[in-house]
Amino acid sequence: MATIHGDKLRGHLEAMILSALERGEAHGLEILQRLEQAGCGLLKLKEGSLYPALYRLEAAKQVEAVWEEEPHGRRGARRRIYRLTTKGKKSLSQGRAEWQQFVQVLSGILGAPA
Amino acid sequence: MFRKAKPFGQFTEQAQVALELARLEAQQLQHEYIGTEHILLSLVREPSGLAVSVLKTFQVDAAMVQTEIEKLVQRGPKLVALPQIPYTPRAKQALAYAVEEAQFWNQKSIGPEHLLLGLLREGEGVAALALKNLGLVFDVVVREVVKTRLAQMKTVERAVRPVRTTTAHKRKVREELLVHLTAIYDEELARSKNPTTAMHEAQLRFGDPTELAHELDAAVPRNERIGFHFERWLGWRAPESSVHYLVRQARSTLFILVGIGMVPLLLALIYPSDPAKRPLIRHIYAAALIFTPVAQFALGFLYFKLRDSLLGAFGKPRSHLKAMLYDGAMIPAVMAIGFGFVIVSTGDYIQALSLLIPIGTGGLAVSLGYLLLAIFRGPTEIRDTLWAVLDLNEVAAG
Repeated sequence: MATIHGDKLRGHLEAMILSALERGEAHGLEILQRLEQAGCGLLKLKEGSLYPALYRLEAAKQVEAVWEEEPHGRRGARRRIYRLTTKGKKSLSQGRAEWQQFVQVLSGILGAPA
Repeated sequence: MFRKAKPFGQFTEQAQVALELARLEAQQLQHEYIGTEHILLSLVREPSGLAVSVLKTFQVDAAMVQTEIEKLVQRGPKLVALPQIPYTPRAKQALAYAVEEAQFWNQKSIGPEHLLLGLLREGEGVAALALKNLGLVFDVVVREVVKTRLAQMKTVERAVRPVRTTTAHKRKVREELLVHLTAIYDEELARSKNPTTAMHEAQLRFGDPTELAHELDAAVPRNERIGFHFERWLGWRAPESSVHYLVRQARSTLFILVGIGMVPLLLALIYPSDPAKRPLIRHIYAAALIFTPVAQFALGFLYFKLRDSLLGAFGKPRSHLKAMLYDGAMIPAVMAIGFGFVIVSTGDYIQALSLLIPIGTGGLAVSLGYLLLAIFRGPTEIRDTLWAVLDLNEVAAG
């Protein structure tokens, strides 16, 4: 099976991030790892693109972020930990419903003939 | 950048060994102190050490360093039997600089290469002189030592610099992206064991910085965008000089003041009144017009000087004495401006003199305020500046 690249994910990335955060708070790299696991390694995302999406979600108050406390053993560079907000949870379930509908409609058209 | 080091805890094993060997170097030369020269000798005697590989890129080897040091110092007259040989003040300063450099570049621990940087930055010890005689300059060596970090920073900065947002917001994005890029670089390095390959792979995973810049720019919140326009008007624009910035700032203030002065002038056109009625306001306005830009320039200039010598910024040696002189100079500066202001606005020398105590107190408060600013905000400002002036056209070294 071919891998799925960034362009096709456009528009879905934010919902995917929200769903990754449903499993608990995480920093950027962890979110990517969760997505990669869930996508069985077929998901190829430019990792930098995660952050604009996170910032949009943050501005929309669907996620909130705090800087990690004094990192263990590492100095200086801190990671930011993201967490779902109530608004984000709502948006996630809405996104899921939309996706189900999308799949239903498209599989009615593109899916194998009944 | 400003923290005191815990002795040796954060040093790598190699660096600790080098410091231990420095003691032996001192004993062998029959010196009763451990100076910068002993640290340098022990650094270059470890052929697999990182300091040696850094020196090698500048075509300098152990023998050359040793010859230079021998030109500068002599063997001591007799064997020293001290239980504890003390470090010289310069050696201590060099160690402190080594810690600072490692921290400044977010390196995990302090290695021999940072000790080398510390020795060079100290600037006046025997080690620094020997290294200078061999043609080594701090600014150039530091780039070699942190080249991996610089390559990572440049990738991040390519994505962040074009984004139209505030400095504070950029700072946040830079830190987060750099942590991510460092983490994937470390992953790739563990896989390939080759820094060049690891950097290449990490950059592929990270994505094209130019594209990322567009995405980041589109995600900038409204308030940050407004802040950006204000900053571009009033704030520092990389890479202008501090004097250029201060002149521009003073000019902006002058324009704003002139603009404010227009309001009553227009009002006077609509509602004519006797101009002789309110001479004090006019005089105060004239004084503000003259002295606000002057104060802004003078204090800003002294502040930059104070901050850079206090922190030893941009690879310059630190000087607390100079910092205190610049800070102290703010008091007469504020007083001169204060007296000038009162004299122009009231025309009354006697009254100006009677305000000696409040104006003097003001001067003290200003100098204290700027000192605190330099201590607490200075390191952040210097870091922001460093990012903003990173040369992105240079070929990124792996």
